[in-house]
Order: sequence, then C-alpha cells, then structure tokens
Amino acid sequence: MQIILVGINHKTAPVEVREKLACDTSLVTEALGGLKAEYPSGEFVLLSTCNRTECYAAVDKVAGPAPTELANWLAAFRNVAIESIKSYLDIKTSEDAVAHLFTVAASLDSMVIGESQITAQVKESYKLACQCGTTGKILNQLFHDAFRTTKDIVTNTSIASRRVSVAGVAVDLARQLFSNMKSAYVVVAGAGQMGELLVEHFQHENCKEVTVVNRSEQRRCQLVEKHQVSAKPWGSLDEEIVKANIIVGAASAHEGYLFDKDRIKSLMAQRRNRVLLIIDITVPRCFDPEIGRIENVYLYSIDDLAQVARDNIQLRQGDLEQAIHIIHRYVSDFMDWFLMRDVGPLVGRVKAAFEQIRDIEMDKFFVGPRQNAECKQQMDAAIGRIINKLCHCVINNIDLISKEHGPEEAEKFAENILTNANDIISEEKNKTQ
Amino acid sequence: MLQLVSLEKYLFLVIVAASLVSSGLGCIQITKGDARFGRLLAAFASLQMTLGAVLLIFRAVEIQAFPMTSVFESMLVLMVFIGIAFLFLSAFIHQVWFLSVMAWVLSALILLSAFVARPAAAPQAAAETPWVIAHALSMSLSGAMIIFAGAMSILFLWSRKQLKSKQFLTLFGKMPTLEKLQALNLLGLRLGFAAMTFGFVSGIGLAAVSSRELGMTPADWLADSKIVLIAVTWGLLLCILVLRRVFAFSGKVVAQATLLVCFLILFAFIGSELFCKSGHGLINQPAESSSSSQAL
Repeated sequence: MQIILVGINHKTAPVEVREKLACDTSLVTEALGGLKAEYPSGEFVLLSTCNRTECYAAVDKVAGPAPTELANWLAAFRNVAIESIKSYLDIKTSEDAVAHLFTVAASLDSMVIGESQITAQVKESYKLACQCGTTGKILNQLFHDAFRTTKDIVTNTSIASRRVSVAGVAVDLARQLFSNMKSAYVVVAGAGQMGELLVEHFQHENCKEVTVVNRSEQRRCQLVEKHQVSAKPWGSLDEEIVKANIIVGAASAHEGYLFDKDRIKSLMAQRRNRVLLIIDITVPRCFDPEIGRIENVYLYSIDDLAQVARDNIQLRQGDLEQAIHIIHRYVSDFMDWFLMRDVGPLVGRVKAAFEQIRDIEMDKFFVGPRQNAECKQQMDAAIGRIINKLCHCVINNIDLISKEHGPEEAEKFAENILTNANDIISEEKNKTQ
Repeated sequence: MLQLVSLEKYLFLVIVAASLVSSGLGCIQITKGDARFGRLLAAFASLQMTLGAVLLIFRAVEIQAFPMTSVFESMLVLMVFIGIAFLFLSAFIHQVWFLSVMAWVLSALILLSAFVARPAAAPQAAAETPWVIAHALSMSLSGAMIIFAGAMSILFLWSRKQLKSKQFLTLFGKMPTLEKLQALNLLGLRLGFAAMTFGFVSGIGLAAVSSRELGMTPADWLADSKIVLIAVTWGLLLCILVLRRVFAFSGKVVAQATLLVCFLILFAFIGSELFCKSGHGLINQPAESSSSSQAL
C-alpha cells in the first residue's frame, strides 16, 4: 500500500484555479463515492476548503491508481481540463504526504498560522469520509495521528493561543483588566463593520450586557435584531459611559475628537474613578489620545491593537520550529507503523510454515505402532505451544530490528526466516517422496 | 545567623537554601514566560514553612514559652503566615508573575530574618500570659497581610505601567487581572488592619497587666520606637481604608500608600531592632548554653 496526496492549495494555486476544484459537502460525498467505485481496494478522504482541495488516498502500490491517475480523475470529476491545473498540482507520496496532512491539520500550512478553523475542517472531512465508508485501517490511523499531532502542538506550543486579530486582542485586553467578563458592561458607540465584529467578540465572552449607541436608528435596529443586543439613542452616550466598563469607539468623527480629556474626566468623576477600558477602532480617532493619561482610563487605538496582533503573528512564527519538530516525531512514528503493516502478513506466513514443519514431524513420528498412541493429542498441543512461543520470540526480534534498523530490515529478517522455513519444508517433502 | 546553635543553624541554612533555589526558579520561569515551576515553588514554600515551624517548636521547647519572644521568632511566624497565603492562593492563581513574586517575598523575608537571627533567650515572666500569644499572633498576621498587600501593589503598579505604555504582551496570560490585583491588595490591607487593631487591643491589655514586670511606664510605651512606628502604620492604614471610600482613590494611589505601609511595618519589625533602641521585647537574657537538640 502507499499513501498519496493529490491536490491544490493556496501556496500552489491562485484563487481562480482553487475555485475550479473546490467542492461543497454534497460534491465531496459524490466524489468519495465515485473514487470508491473506481478503486474499491483504496481508501480516500477529500478535504475541500477555500484554501485547498486535497485528496488523501491509501492505495495498492501495484494495482491501485498512480498519483497522476488520481489527479486526472479529480479534474474529470470537476469538469476541468487537467492541462489547466497540472502546473498547480501538489502531489506527494508516502512520508511527504503524511507530513503534509499533519502540517495542514495543525494549521501550520494555513494563511494565518495557528488559526483553528482548518483543524475543524480536517475533522469534518474525515468524518464525512467515514460516513461514506471510504476510510480504512490506514487512513483511520493516519487521521487519528494527525489529530493527536495537532493536540500535542496546541498543548506544547503557543501557536494557537495568541490572538492575531484586532478584535481578539481587544478581548484579551479586557480580560487583562477585568476579572469577570460576565459582569462587564460594554458600550459600542457606532455601528460600523468593526463595531459589529467587536459586538460579536464581546458577546462570545458572555459579557453582562452589550449596548449599541448609534446615530442611525435603522442601523441600530439592524444590530439589535442580528445580535440581540440592547440599543440606545446617540444622546444617551454619556449616561451609558458612566455605567460602562468597556467602551468601543466605532463612530466617525468628522471634525476633531468626539471625546476630549475634560469630558471623560468629568464622566470619570461621576463613575467614582472605576476602571474604564476604551477601544478606539475608528480612523480618524474619536477619543483624544490625551484621555489615556487620566487615571484608571486605559485607551487604545486600532494601531495599538494591530501592533499586538502583528507581534503575536511573529511569536507564532517563532514557535513554528518547535511545532515542526513535533510533526517530524509523529510522522516517523506513523511511518514505522505503516511499514510494519507489510511485515504483519509475513509473520503470519512464518507461523504457518512452522506449523507445517510441526505437522511433517508429527506425521513422521506417529507411524506404525505409534499411529494410535494416546499421547498424540497432548504432544500436538505441546508442540503448538512451543511454536507459539518461538513465534513470539521472532515477533520480538522483528520489532527490535524495526526500531533499531528500520522496517525494511525487519521485513528482510522475516523474509529470511520464512525462506529458511520453506526450505526445510521442501527438503522434508522431498525426503518423504 | 551564625550565632544560632548548631541544629537551629543547619535548619535555618536549609530554609535559606530552599528560598534561594525557589527565587532562582521564579526568575527562570519569568524569563521563560510560563508557570513551569508552579508546583515546585509551592513545594519549596511548604518546605520552608515546615522547617520554620520545626524551628519554632525547638524554640518553644527550649524557652518553655510561646516562641514569639524575639524578632527572629516573629519573622519565622510571619514567613509561615505568608507561606500559607501563598499556598492557598496558588491553588487559584496560576500566573507566572504572581507565583514568582510570592516566592521572592518569602525568600526576602527569610533573608531579612537572617539579620535578626539570635539564639533562644530566657523569656520574661510576662511572656507566659495569654495576652502575649494574642498580641504576637495578631501582629504577625497583620504584618504578613500587609506584606502580602505590598507584593500585590507592586504587581498592580507594574501591570498598570505596562498597560498604560501599551506593552500588553508581557502581561497576557502571565499576570493576574488588574482588578484581581487591586482586590487582593485591598483584602491584604483590610485583614492587616483588623489583625493590627486586635494586636493593639491585646498589646494594651498586656501592658496593663505586665507593666510592672516589664519595668515600663505608660510614658515609656508611648515613646518606644517600635510602638510609635506600629501606631503610625495603623493610622495610615485607617486613612487609606476610609479615604479610599470617601474620595474614590484610584488603584495607583492605594498601591503606593500600601507600599509605604509595607515599608513602615517592615521597619517596625526589623529596623527598630537593628537601628533603634526598643524596650518592646520579652527577653531577659540569653539562655543557658543548651542546644535545641539537647533540650529535645
């Protein structure tokens, strides 16, 4: 058997090419069914996201399809001329294909390293393949190992823990200031796209209340309907600020700042100096930067947050080396298991040969007056046990050789024993004849 | 420290060594940015507390009295109280800065104890009254709580500075929230104030009962450097707690005032022993040259 990867991704192909091969769930199901019908002994998983369409297959080395054949099949399935995508194809086999899947699942091959969406998409694709019955022992092991690798990387590196979006950093900041986000009162001044994004993020944190204060009533109502937040007219902004823990400035200010230092100072006095986090995400800014000097007011502009997001991206890159090291370890373990699979049937054949030798020897012994001896059955069972124990010794040695010198050497060793056993059998058979 | 009898000296050396190791571990984990030695630090704190308690038991057996008659013994009790607070809170607060700073505070207290380490001395008769136990325990608890509040206020001020200067990455996941630090600071101050008030009352009780035995007049008490410092600390604590409510002081002001209180209490505990003459003690003279091991 061999493992094959055929596909295109954001690193090999532009979006115009990627969209030609992209499949939704129903198409993936159809493709998997088609592949299984065409190559019944093969195992297939098809991963299709906006950044990649990749087919992972475990097929027979001799009788199964070659990688190019699989690529042709996929192109034909999506009615795309193979010539138009040939130069963008990413084809990998055995160890390279395994390493690629582990890298993709751990989100190291994503546009934004560490984003967790791809891991969920790989899981979904595998689940779908399981439902379609196109996975088997090899791909099951391969994908489970991929998920284990991802878990290890997430646990032991900070690749997935650092926020890389402005809205995410804003939430992290709030969590650094307030112990209990569930009791935080958030006021979003303005209802632009970024404002809406922050509403979503703070709602996800289960904040006590999120209130949108906006000039346009229509937009305010839209947000209320979409996110089930409360809304207040623009005139009540000061009143809301007095109550709020977090203010998101998302309203445009055409002339000067919407809030200057004195205005916030007087509001802070009404708040009895409770800590106030202000996130100003508009350009031009609506909060005077001098406000940041007021005690217990923490003011951040979109640039401040973007800088942290950029730093986090860099830090994630720094963890890349450690993550790649983890992937290498898991790939090596998987390949050992995969190659040892070929030795498994050999061990079975060695045992069968040993049993054949036993039968020959038993037949030679129990002849003439001993033919009906009472001990025949007990002896047969005893020799069977001896063979099992000897086979166990052989398996242990194969394991040892596999670990120390690789699966190929272990296979050679098993083949040698089998050849020797077969020689003994033929010799005995010749003697008998 | 070298004046301690053999067994006490070795025990105390082990405590000092443990504190140095835990300080080092605290430094390493701060540089690495994660609380990788959190459990180890808790284990070292337990070791320091246990050995400190064993040392106190040796003292109690030797002087046949409650072992809080000298500053060294009081410092050990203070260390045990802080250790308990550390162990309790480390179950809930796992951030690297909190764990490391608490380990450093414990180490600092142990190193300060080394300066005032003296062999056991025969206590005065007044040391046997229950007033002494109440007074010494509550004052030590108060000191521990104020030192704890001081540690929290250092963390608060540093955290605030980083947030104001927009250096968030040094804080995310490594430092308790600003709100929590402020709350812990206040908790330390409140408990410290309550314990100190009780310590004052029991101290007045002790003075009333044992003034003659201690050879102190009311004027002596009022002029004693340690008592004056403690009284100033108590007054300052009261001011912080009351004015904070009235004028809605910011966390920064409270933290800075806490540091002042912390300095005052440390000076009252150790500074007055080293630099001022204080009659605030319950020791007559150095004990007979019997080692702790012999006493046991």
